[in-house]
Amino acid sequence: MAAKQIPVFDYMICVACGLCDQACPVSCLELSKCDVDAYKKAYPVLAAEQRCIGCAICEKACPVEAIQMADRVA
Amino acid sequence: MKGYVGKVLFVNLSSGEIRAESVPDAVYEQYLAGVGLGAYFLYQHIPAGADPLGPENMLGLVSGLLTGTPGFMTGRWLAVCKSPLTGGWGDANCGGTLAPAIKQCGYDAIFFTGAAAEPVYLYVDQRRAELRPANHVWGLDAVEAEQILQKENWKAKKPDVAVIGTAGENLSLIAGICNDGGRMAARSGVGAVMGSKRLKAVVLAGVKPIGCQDPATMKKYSKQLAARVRKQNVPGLVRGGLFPLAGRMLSRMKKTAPLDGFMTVMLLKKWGSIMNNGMGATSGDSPIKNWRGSVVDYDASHYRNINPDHIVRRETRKYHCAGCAVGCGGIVDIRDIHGGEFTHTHKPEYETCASFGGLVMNKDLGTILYINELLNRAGMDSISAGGTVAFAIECYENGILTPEMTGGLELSWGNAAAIVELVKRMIARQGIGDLLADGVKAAAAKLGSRSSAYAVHAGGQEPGMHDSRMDPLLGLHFSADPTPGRHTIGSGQYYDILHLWEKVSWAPPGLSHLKDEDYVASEEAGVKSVACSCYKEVLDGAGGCYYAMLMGVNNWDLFKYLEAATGWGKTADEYMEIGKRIQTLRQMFNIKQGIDPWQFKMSSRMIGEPPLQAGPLKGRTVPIDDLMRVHWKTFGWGENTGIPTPETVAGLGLDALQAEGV
Repeated sequence: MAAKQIPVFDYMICVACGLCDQACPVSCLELSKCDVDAYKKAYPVLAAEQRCIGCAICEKACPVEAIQMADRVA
Repeated sequence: MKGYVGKVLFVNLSSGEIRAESVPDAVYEQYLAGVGLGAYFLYQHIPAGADPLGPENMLGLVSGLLTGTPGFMTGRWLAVCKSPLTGGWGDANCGGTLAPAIKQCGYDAIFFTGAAAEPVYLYVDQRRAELRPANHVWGLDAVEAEQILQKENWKAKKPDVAVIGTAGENLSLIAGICNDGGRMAARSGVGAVMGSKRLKAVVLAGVKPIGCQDPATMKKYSKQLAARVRKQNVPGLVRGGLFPLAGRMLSRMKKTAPLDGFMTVMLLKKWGSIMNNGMGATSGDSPIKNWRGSVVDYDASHYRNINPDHIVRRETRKYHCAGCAVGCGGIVDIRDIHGGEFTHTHKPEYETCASFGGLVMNKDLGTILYINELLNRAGMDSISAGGTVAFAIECYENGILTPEMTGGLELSWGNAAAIVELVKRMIARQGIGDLLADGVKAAAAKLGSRSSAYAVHAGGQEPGMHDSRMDPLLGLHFSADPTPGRHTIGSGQYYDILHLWEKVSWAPPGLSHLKDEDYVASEEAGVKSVACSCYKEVLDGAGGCYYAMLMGVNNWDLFKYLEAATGWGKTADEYMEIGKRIQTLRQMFNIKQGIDPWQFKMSSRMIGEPPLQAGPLKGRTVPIDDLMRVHWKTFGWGENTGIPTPETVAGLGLDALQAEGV
């Protein structure tokens, strides 16, 4: 069953460290958003929303609090 | 939790026995995790005189105490073992995503003994650990094998994989262990040890969260660092072509002074370690032509081709180790090189550009990028491989290697096609490549004494691409560290950047001084080198990044991070005491294995005997014997022997281990 809440990333705060992706127990994130800055840093996205279980482990793991769990938009 | 898990895994590959062992908190308080935990177990478990490629050797994959916590720049893991390259303590450091994955399985470290009868890999998650057949991936390169094992074992979480390529399988003494599509724990021959155990890979699929004492405080520090990193950017007008000019200016300066290491952040963000490509040549930092040349030989017509801008233009994306706020790595497109054999490669490090650039007089960037991918896939150390190719060219130049011996390869300086072919033969152990696949010391032993003058190494390991004649304390660490030939431990420049004096009571302040003063083995030089050594061991116990170290403790405060993670209430001085304990235990490991510390003294060329006749390091000689003596004495080791004294061993609480371990 799809999670009620999913992670939302604030790219103004995120530094693309990847700890969220590493912590995710179902590998539903991906470091593939390379258009945020001029360096082509690879920022996280929720690449496989159907796999997300809404556990919020990514939110907890983020060192800079750039992730917030938010209600899934239907 | 205090950052660490409190458990390690032991795997006997001969019997198949796998057991977990809890580790008392007191061990972490004395040794941290990472290299310290490795030293604690390897010292006790590896018998004196053990064959590095035999079943008695123990190979550990160890994760840092801070790894996986909200502490930035702490995503490093180490492979530790008795080195087949040096005969003493071996370790190799790597980033990527593997370091937290070890802890996510519920262990701070995994140790292997014995040897499997057939190729195997270890699968681990938070519930089980089991050995599985690996015949289907044996013989594949590290990237191919990683992709197959990842796919096979991807249930919920995408697994992380540590894997050897064919170099490790072929027991090349300069083989490393790879992860993340070609990142490598490259040094000390750790890949050969893994190959000798017929252990192709370790697959980690655990999902356990990694906790620490005070995550809110750690996040507060990380947010402060992230904000500063974000603002640290190179002005648009600054191009890679300016670096050689900066290097030339540096080489002409008579004085040196403490620097703010945070300025390196902007350079790393834009270029990564390759910022030093041309600057190293003009400043004298990069060894040229097998350490006998200079920028007079490898001039602008050469180094302008390895301008870092040429590499960054190929970058399709940046690449971060887990928990890094900077992101010095990258993935570069190489489809136009060598007939499109490979689509991409990890951005080569400066070390690779220098070892296959100035060291062998090559000016073809495409060759460097291609060799980078060849070596990453084979799992062969690019520093040692480049050093060995340079040795081979000089042997050829002097008639020690003949066209018959090289199978028709014309090994002349800068002959890019021949260099590529030689690297391929070293990887495959084919023809002359078989003789060279174990590094310069082993090759010189086979080719006879006339070749030993061209075998540039320290204790059997080819040195990093930074010239000791430019920074004598770097040469000291090349020679006096229990893992010789390493450029990542310390130097005079490092000391001036680390700003340890702001945290550590006994660290002398960095002051502006004449460069000439660095060529004197003063008591202060001993204190500075000991400070660098101790701090590096704390760093490697924490899983910290070398480039974070070079930001300086005034910018990246490792001690504060450790306190927030553990809540131990230790001072910086007390953490440095832990560093001293780890370093002394690594030296004790070498003594136990029969190493005479003098045998690690770097080769004559690295000392400046005879001195160079041209270039920025003209006339420079390092007083290495005196520096080694003052370093050992300051450490509390025998001034003339390098053996830790009984008083030092007892003072660090290592006497009980020594009684059990020897």
